[in-house]
Amino acid sequence: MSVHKSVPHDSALKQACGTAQYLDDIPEPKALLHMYIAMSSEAHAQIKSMDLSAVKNARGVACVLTAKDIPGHNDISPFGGDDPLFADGLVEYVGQPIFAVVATTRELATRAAKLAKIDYAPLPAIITIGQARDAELVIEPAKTMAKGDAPKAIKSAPHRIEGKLVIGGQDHFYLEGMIAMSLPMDDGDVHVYSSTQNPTEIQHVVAHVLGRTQKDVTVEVRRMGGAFGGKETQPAIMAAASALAVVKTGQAVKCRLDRDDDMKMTGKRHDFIYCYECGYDETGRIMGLKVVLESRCGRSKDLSGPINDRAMFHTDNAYDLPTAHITSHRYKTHTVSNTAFRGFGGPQGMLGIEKVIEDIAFSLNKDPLDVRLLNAYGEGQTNNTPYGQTVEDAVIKEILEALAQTSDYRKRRAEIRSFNKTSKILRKGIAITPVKFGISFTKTHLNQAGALIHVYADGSVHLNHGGTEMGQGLFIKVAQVVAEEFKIPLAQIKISATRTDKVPNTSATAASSGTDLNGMAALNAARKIKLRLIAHAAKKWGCAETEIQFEGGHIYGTGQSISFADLTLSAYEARIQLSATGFYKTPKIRYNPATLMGNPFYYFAYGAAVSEVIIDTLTGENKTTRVDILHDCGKSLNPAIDLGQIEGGFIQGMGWLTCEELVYGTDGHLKTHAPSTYKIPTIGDRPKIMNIAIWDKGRNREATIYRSKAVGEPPFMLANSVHCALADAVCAARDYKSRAALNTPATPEEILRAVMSISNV
Amino acid sequence: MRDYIQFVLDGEIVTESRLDPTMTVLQYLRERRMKTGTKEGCAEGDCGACTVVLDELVDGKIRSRAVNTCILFIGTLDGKELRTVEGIGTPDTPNKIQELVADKHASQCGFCTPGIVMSLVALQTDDLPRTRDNIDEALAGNLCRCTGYGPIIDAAMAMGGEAGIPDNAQALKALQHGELVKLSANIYGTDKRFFIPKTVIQLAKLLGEYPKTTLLAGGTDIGLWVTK
Ligand code: FES
Ligand code: FES
Repeated sequence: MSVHKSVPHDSALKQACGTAQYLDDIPEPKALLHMYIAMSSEAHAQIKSMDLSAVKNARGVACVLTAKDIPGHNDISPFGGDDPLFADGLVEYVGQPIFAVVATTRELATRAAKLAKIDYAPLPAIITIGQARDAELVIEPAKTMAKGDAPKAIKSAPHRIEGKLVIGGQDHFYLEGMIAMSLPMDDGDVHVYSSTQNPTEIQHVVAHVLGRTQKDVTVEVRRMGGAFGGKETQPAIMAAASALAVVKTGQAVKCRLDRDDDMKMTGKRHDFIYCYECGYDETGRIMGLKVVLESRCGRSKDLSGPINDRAMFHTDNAYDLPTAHITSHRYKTHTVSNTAFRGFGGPQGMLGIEKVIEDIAFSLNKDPLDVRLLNAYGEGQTNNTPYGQTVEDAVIKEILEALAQTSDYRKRRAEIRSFNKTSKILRKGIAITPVKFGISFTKTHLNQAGALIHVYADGSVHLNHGGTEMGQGLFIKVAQVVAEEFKIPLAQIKISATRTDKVPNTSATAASSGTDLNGMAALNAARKIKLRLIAHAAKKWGCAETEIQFEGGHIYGTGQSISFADLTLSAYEARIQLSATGFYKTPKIRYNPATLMGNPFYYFAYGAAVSEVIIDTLTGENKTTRVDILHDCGKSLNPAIDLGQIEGGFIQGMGWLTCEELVYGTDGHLKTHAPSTYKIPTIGDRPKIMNIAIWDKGRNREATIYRSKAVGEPPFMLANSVHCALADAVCAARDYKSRAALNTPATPEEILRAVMSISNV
Repeated sequence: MRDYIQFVLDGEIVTESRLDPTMTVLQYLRERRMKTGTKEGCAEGDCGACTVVLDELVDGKIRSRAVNTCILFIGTLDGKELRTVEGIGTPDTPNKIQELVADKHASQCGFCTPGIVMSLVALQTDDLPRTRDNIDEALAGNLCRCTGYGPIIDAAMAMGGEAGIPDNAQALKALQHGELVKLSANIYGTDKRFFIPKTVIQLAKLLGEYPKTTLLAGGTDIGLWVTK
């Protein structure tokens, strides 16, 4: 079997030996020019005048590009029509591209850009969610989702509680920064290498900017050095600007951003303010929940609409809400346009309800786990989400209970409580939290994929599909599917770069859907070829097609056998087509984007985590000391790859909630734009004890590829347990007398603030 | 005084002159030598993607260190040996550490991986017990955004004692040591000069001659003047 096996990532050894080619490693074409993109220094201003003559005359400069040089449309947005490639008169965030310099070296381009004289007339800048709320500045109208009459249920409930949580944003910090290289081709066409999760979108945007059609632009990407959603729409800047420069100069052009510029210029995870009001009974069962979500979308729409929709779709997380009322405000600010990031709004929606649960448990003096189990989807509940989709496989209680057992949660919770009685300065906390994450693009038409497979006469196989590889192991998983279908060794399959001229009209590799979609499309293509081979073998041997079997690199039938390579050669000689395209579209999904009601998701992925933390109540320093995870990957296609996604997602989520802080000045300047000031988790932050298990009962009830489940995003939200554990430790700092709101990221400063906010009496 | 630098690069003695003295080793590797295995993640010495191993002779013995090439100027290589991720093994003949990193699933997007491998090579040459704390210390300068570090720790734990990397003491000894070196080039109309004194006397003389010169030792700050 090639599937359900822990095969290493196809590129792992090449990566470890430094021979895996990333975009900047491709041998450079003749007379390559380099681009630097100059950015706005103002958050909101009118450009009164711009004198670029010194830039143009500087050493090595080939050309300077502004909005005026764009032959097509000055717009690189995915659908909003509101993202200019270069600012045209108005700038709306610090870091916004204004013009580009193309020179013989990167250094000369960078130097020349500094010679620009730009005169700004500043306008009032709206930086924070609060300012946008006051100014009523939005990127689109607020949306509401309701199930039953939540206000009434809350009013009539025996207990009522309300609270607020400020949730920070996050920079992707993919190790490979943004980059594109464009080459001139025949007929004025361009070939664009782009570090993108979304080649079709880049192709479309480049054509749009150049005033050409999609056939004139080819986009290619073999692999990315990490993406995490950050390379879904944002690479359009580098791709379109370099392609434009190719058209102007007739030479190849590379645009590679420096880390600081990358962090200033490109979008991040949305920060949110979460306010809730909840009514519940004396057992802790929620009767009604009212939530108001406010998010900072930045200067344009980008993907903020669907991201905020997903936040709304996940306010219930794994909990059955008899009534709910959810409002989502999408604020426009003069900061970089926030964008997709692993979880796509889901994490922000889910973190809030974990606080609600913990607040309820505290008020009733109960173990939060009991409140979680009481409210979780499952037997005896409505099992109806606030958006009207039925939760059919309510397995979360079982996962929570199994993990509580294997992690010794209850015993450790008691031990921690007694430790906290005697420990003066150091206090511990523990929490267990569930994850239920909806799988599918919420834009229904994106749930489609294509593949292309060639079988050569010598039996070797060329595999191509619309998905992109960013480290998540998509390519090896799809290759496993094809190897399984043909029953040939993986080594016989060539995994190839994603290209828009091989598979057209593809969707971004996002929403965790890469394997679900592309695995199925590749299977569809492989099966077509296999059926032709079966028919050929049956004819050759004069037997029934049902007698033909593929096994271990051979084909068997009526006592005869032939190797795969010999059969493909014979099929070729018999003039049988050995190439096929494959296609897949996700079934069953249907919902109304206006009311948000219906079935936006094909299925749900589940998981749970227990985190234990320790804090220093004098300094706010903190550490996550132990983590136990049980995660549902369905029937895992590749357990090693899935475990990597689980651990990596968890640590990235932990970073979001603890150490990664985006600090904007009142003038809109991002102060944390390099690893010296923006802290992602390091090796020392990894908990000393991490027990990660894939749920062995996992099996997708839907007919996904080999009954597996998507795994890219769901584990990110397992880290919510770290935040809840830290809040528990903060509560312990004052002997569980009262609970303080702990905002995120829970940096030492924030933990200290929370501890101090609880009066010490 | 000689006007060229000499160093060992992956086992070969290399002589270079008239290079821009503020060219970083990372630029040299990637742009001049097509050794693109070494990556740039930040260009400020904080992410470790550009890590290589630098060997030098200290009292006749080899001392190996993992260094960030993104803020290391080319002239500082004089008299030393540089080992890159391509130099220690290839996919056909991988080094033990490279093999372990792949087998233990310690590489996802792979962009941090060459740097991690080289930090592990440096750890290997130290005689420290392979504990979690020592591993954390050795990899403290290597950021990985994908793996969560667990599989990297597993690979490090499994390394065993043998580095499996050829000892190049011979080549290193064959280099010219002791003599003052001047690396200079005219870059866009400015004369850039970089002196590499080998003794205190040489340094004192130079300082007398160029009192306003910038002194470079580790260069973690001065490197940033150039890269940022
Ligand atoms: S590139 Fe980040 S440390 Fe050198
Ligand atoms: S594997 Fe992607 S950064 Fe480490």
